[in-house]
Amino acid sequence: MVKLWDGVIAVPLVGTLDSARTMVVMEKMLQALIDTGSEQAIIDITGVPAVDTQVAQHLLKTVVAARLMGAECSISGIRPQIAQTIVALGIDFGDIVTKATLADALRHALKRSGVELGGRDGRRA
Amino acid sequence: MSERVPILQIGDVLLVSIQTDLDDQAVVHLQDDLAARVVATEARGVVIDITAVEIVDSFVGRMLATIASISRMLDAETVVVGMRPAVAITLVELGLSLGGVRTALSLEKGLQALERSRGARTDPTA
Repeated sequence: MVKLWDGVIAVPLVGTLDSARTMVVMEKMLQALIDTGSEQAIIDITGVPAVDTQVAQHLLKTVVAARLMGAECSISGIRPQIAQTIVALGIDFGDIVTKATLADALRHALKRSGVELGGRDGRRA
Repeated sequence: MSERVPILQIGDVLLVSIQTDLDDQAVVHLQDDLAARVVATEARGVVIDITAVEIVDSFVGRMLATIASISRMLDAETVVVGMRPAVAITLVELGLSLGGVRTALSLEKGLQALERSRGARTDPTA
């Protein structure tokens, strides 16, 4: 768990995800939301080599659980191949926020928590 | 006879603080009592604090959604606060996403959220 900003935590995932590992990540992230009082969480899957239906299902569950607790969760670091795989598998992420890079997700999270961004960042936000 | 869950009034917000794991009967009573209290007190918001709840089943999960819908019918917005990670995971595994129920991390944040949405509703410029 990495604290990115006041009220924003990130979970960088590296390596292959399986059910057991995802459950641990899920529990740790949800506990971190409480411990830090964060209302925004970002799951970064830049380091995840492949996403199958099961992994996608776990990610979706994590996001829904975070929502149940009153936090918002977005997924970032989706590489082109992974985006293609997810669409090809017919997985619907619904209204879950997905971003290509962690930077985009952080910008989104800051905007949602009401932080004003100036300069060039502000233009893209 | 099971214990009744107390409903406290703070201004125009009703606070339901659930201190024990709920059995089905208690949940049904809570639904009745809360509906009556919302009407009697003309409450504008309901905060359900489930910090102390460690175990939920599908019945309790569904009731949270029902209670929120009932309150909304009576023009009181419901926020469920303090849900534990284990409870959230259980509800997700049960396939309950509580769509339409607002949630907040803590009681404080729940009250703030209620205030914000009430401000937005009464002030058209906001």
